Amino acid sequence: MEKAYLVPNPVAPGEPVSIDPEKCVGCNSCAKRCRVQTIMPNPERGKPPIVIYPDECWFCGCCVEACKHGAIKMRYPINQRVFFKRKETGEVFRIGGPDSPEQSYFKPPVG
Amino acid sequence: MANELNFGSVPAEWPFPVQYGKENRIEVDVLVVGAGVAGSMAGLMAARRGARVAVVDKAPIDVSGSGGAGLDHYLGCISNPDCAYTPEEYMELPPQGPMGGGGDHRSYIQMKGSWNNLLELEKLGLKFRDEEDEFKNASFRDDKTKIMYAYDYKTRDTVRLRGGARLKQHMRDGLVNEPNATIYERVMITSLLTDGGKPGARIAGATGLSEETGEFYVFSAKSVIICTSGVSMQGTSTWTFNSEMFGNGYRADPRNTGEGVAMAWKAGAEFNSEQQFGQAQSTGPFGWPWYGIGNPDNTWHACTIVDNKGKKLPWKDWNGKILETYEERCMPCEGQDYMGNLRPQPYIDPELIANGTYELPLWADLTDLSDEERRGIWGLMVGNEGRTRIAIYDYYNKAGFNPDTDMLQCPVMTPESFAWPRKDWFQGEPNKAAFWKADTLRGVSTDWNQMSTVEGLFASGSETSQGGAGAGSSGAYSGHRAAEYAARTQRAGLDEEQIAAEKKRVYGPVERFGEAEATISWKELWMGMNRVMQQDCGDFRTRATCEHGLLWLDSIKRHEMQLTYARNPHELSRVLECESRVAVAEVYLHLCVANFKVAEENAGKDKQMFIKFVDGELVITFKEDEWWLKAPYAPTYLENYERCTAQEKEVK
Repeated sequence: MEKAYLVPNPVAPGEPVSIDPEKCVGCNSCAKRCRVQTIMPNPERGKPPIVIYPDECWFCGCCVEACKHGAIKMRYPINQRVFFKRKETGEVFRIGGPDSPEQSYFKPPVG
Repeated sequence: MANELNFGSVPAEWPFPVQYGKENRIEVDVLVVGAGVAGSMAGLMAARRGARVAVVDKAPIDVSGSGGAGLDHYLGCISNPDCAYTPEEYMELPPQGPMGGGGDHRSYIQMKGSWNNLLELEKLGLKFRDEEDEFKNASFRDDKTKIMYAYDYKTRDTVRLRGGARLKQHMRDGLVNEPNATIYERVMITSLLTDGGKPGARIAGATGLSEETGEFYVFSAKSVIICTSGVSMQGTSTWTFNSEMFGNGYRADPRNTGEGVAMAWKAGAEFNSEQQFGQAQSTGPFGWPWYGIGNPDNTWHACTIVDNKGKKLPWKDWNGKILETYEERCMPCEGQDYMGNLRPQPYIDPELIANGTYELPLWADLTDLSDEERRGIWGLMVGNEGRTRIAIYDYYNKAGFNPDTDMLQCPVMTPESFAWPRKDWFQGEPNKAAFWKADTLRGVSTDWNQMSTVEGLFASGSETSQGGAGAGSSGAYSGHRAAEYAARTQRAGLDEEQIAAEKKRVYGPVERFGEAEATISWKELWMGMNRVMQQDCGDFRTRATCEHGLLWLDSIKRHEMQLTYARNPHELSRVLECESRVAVAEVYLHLCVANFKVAEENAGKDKQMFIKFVDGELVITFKEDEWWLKAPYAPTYLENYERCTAQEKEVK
């Protein structure tokens, strides 16, 4: 018999941002920039910050930009993932979908 | 799940020392409430004029404000050297936005100072010009000044900001380096303090709460500038509880909850209203990622749109003329002094969608544009809007989207939604759901000094309907005026009873936690007040329904709002934000009642209406049209401006 627990329902979206514990150095740069407190510092110093209020994320991406170690990934919820179409071939892809093409545009933003 | 502490699966201790009730008393000359674009500039300018300044924001200043970390273009930058009109000329043009004719003294203040404000930002480190000549061949760039323009390439009234996504970082750095200014981040101002604690009396300061430690702040100030963004951005959250999908539906940020409106209203300040019905701006909970879905307007102007089979949609100008070239999409049409908000758009007859001639979905085809135009939209605009630099530009690029080869899907909507001119999806971000309408509330009413009817209380930015980029010049102007006022004014005494009453309100939810009756979460309070607005202030409403709405809100305020709970400083700040939403809803309802009342009495024809709340009574007053150019003011915009900024020049 497996064990199960009485826990609250999950909120949606589940994981607007994910922090990779392998890459995270626990500097809290992301938590310091999160204006909605979706990410909060870990009470244990040096440990990865905690994604505590995913339901309040407004997908500003500031945490991703703040992380110098590439440890944070932002993830739009399913209802926000739109399609794009490769003009020449007519193939359609979805942002974050299963068959997305490799990144082919690498220019940084202007300025 | 990488971290078992994520999502509260295993409760972790609050990471900051919790010190509810601990008081910090701070004395300054000028207090700035909210440090978005307007507040940051207000703080900087006031400090440079020698005032001791506190700049307070409930978020980190480098990412705070309705647009987040920055913005990609400066709308209505009429004083720029290449603009076809002077601000004085622009005020006389027909009213078709963004800031032109039909505006008031506040639009003028914004336009007049807009170029100086950009130069100031340039000094702070924003390299907004095309110094690297990346857009040498673009028709939206001036070869001499290297300024890049958007939308209307002939009038050149809107400047694109290279590197604009870091605008707020530059502003924060500027504030940190200003010896007279002190910043307070993660502190939420909860109320205004007035002389003797009396609503409508001279300003004395404000109270605040730290959302990290729960500490209390009492600021004593000679002048206060509210820069918390106005009601213009709050339409949706007043009517709609967004369930848990915060990020999607918001046109503006989720922390824009109306503290400024709430505290100014409670302090007895007068609000400015137009006697007309408008729409609550926002995309609602059915919205798409900001600028992240295909459309031909706003940031994506003037992107080619094709149907699902690749057939191009023709473009039509405001005269109904079919446009042959891309360049024409970026020019005012015949007889138009400037493009303003009446931009050309793709034309599609709803009948042709219904009968299958055009097949949905439509697609935004950046590949059809010249390299400069494509890069101008994707790299310069989408790449520099604070909200989209990572969330769209970086995210979509990594997800495989390539603007050189790919087209982005437009939303599927009813055929009528695409009708010419200017149906839903052409007005910026497409929207599938109908949303509730609101009377137009233009925010805190301010005079030529941008002072409200409460002495010493100033307002800037969206708070006075000068949103977006104009917030910068509006804020700078208020900063100067507030510093001048502080220099010639005695400090008003703080009223300890007023402070104690506010402290009691602020900490109520944490003190109640654990009581059997304290069952109302901040979310429930929010959805509760939304229902009032949906029912009583929806598309169909009467004076009776609006008065019923006020009764309903009052009932909630006296009962459920006294049963809210908070388990940590985060939840506490959210409960207080929802109390602000309730106050915003009240202001809307009062405005509607006032409009019905005035219509019944056939009063105030061709006049501007103002409302305020004093001693439990709604007070409606009127002013002549263009009162800002009538006695005691001078008859021209320029004279008034020069009169108000005279001291500023002496300093320089």
